[in-house]
Amino acid sequence: MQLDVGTFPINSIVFDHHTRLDGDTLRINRHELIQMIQEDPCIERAEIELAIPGESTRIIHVCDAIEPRIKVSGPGVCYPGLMGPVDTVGRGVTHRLGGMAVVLSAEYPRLIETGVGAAHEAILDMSGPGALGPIAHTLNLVLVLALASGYSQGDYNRAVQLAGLKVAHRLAQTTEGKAPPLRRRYELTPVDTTLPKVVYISQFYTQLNLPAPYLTWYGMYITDWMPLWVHPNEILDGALIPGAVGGDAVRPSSWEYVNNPIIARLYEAHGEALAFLGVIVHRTRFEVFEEKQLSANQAAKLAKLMGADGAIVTWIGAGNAFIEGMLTVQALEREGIKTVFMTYEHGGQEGWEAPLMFTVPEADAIISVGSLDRAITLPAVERVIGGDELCLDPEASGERVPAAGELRLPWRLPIASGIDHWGFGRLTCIEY
Amino acid sequence: MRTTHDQMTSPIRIVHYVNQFFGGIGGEERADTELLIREHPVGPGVGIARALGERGRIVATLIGGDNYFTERMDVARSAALEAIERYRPDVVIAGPAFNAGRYGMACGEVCKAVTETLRIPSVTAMSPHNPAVSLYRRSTYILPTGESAASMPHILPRLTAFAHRLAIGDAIGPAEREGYMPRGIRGIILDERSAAQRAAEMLKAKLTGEPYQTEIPVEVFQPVSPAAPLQDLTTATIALVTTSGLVPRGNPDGFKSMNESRWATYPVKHLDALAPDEWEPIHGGYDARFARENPNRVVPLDVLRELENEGVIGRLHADLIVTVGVGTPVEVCQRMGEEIVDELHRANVSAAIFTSN
Repeated sequence: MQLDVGTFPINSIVFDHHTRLDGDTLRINRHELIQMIQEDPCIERAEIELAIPGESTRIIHVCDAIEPRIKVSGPGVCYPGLMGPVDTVGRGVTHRLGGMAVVLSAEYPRLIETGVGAAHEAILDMSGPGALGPIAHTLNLVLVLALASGYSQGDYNRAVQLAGLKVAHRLAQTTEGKAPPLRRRYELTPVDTTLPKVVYISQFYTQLNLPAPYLTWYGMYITDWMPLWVHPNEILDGALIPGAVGGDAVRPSSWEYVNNPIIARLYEAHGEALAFLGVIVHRTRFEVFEEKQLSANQAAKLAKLMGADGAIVTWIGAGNAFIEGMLTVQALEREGIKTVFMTYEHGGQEGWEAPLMFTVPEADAIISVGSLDRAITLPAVERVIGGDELCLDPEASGERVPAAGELRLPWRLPIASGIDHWGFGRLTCIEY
Repeated sequence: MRTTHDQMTSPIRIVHYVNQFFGGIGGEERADTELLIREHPVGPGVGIARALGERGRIVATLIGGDNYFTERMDVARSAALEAIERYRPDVVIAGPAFNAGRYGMACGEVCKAVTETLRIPSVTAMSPHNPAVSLYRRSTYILPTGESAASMPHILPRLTAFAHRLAIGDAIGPAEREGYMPRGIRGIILDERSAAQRAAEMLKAKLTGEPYQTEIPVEVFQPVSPAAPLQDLTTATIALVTTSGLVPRGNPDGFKSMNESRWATYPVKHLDALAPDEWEPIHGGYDARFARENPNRVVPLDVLRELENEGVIGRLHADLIVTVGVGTPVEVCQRMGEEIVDELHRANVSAAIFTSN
């Protein structure tokens, strides 16, 4: 499987009469895009705003951020299953707009009042202490979507996600027929057989019977799945992306999925320091301990069958799904596969408390990407995109606060991409 | 209370604590010596003063007997605090205590007290094997020493330099970089490399047998052994305890849906079952729609009441005990668990059925 990814770096976005790519400037006809979005009856009204890194701008009700990618040759489409058929992707030529994202902002009606199915607030600050994740540093075209009443949460999720994917697709179309300034080939070529063989186990949490899928593979709701061996190029082409109900800190954005830096690192090292065998997509957060143990064992067995000597394991989520993370490290080590685990820490607001909620003695090589628990204050901003008010804890108080004001967050959960699950950035924790 | 020290102009003021032996009073036979104050450097303080030079001075040395301090700790602590407050130091140094257990305790206790009560920074030094390390490392800075006073010449300049930095309000970096014993505080910093790069490099090191250091040392939790089974259900009082966040409608205690640190009791004595129009789940960690439809799915009060009426169990405890179990740090959970156990013991409950979600 050979995939050429052509990157068109975008350095400015301007609103214009025609949507087109003009060097590194993306010109956008706002009305054309708004009309396209408003064709969906679930969306009553759409607005389009621009958010630039470094500005005193806050985007609220963030549901997802999508990187414009388009398949220009080879089988299938980018974001397959959602934007086209389920032909196996990862081959041919894909174009991407670099350094930008289509950010979705929509406040869901509270159809689901509590629990994991409920929509929760996610905030994206373009500057200051809250600008933590990679999507705080991209040029963001924000689709502000007012949802029509009378539909289900599943309908809204589909509508919001498709609005983002369609706009991303339309923007990426501007690259067709153009030669990309940057080009990179992704292929798991045969390499020196004495190099250590490494697999990347990427864990994702989901649940059964949610009103809208948390995570889809070629558009298919990932439910009670056992670990699946996939080609990293499938992920680069958008085969695996989250739903669009809410993009808080423990739910990475689609932009992060297609730019996963672990995949990038392992590709770089492929043939040099190691042989990259591929990715195991591993559904976690099973309800019963035996199911957790089984899924961990199956991931390790699959890695063994692939011939792995080593593994990097990452996870997303909070609490429950962490158990599978540790159990998988244990299962891998018991199979003789040397493992590195990447995680955020807890530790409480001051860092005094236990960093991890569950451990196994085999987890002797852990990379820390910072802490979810530390309090953080987001300063007042000059401009808010997506509304005037937000509600941080609908279950406890339901209090709505002015979105432009200072926000004292007891932890980082409400920050979109506030946790760096896959290691884009340099944050870590160290003992004081 | 501490005033801001003008580091450019005035020398720093230090109070130094030593035991009866290093204070020159005597050995074990003088271990009951009550707190003495000398307004000049004594014993190791002479070395500290020399290392300090013009940058500051020891304004008082407190000398306490090992037994006095450890056996009458409340009295000794108050006396030390009172004296230290009077001398208004910029920093307090205790020890070094090396591997002397009682002396280490006294050093740790003095430092902890001045830092927590008077908000004056403190530092001590002792062997990593001193039992006081695990008790006090979170409360003060402890510099590692050798096992005996043979390492005195080596530690005094470092202790002095560290104390001087504390006194002038210098920011103290991570333990490994600064050389003090880790206090168990996890602080967020920026590494030079991305986490993805570090992961790939750590894996390479692990595969090739090169040294690497985990970024989170793993603490293996103690397994909890279950209590002995009940001998007789028919006389037992059974309590229902839940982390499912099931509360009376309206969430009267304002439970948060994640990272909650409180628990509550709600009377269920008069109820045969939990009605969906009277109870609701507050929880961000599971699909709570099914509990909302029928709260007995997460708290089986209906079945327990039947069993009580049939005489299978003696009695159902009058209160339901509730917290929201998601995203809460382990220590907070342990604290709540202990409080709940106390509550159940007080109510003579014989066993509890604990439901999560």
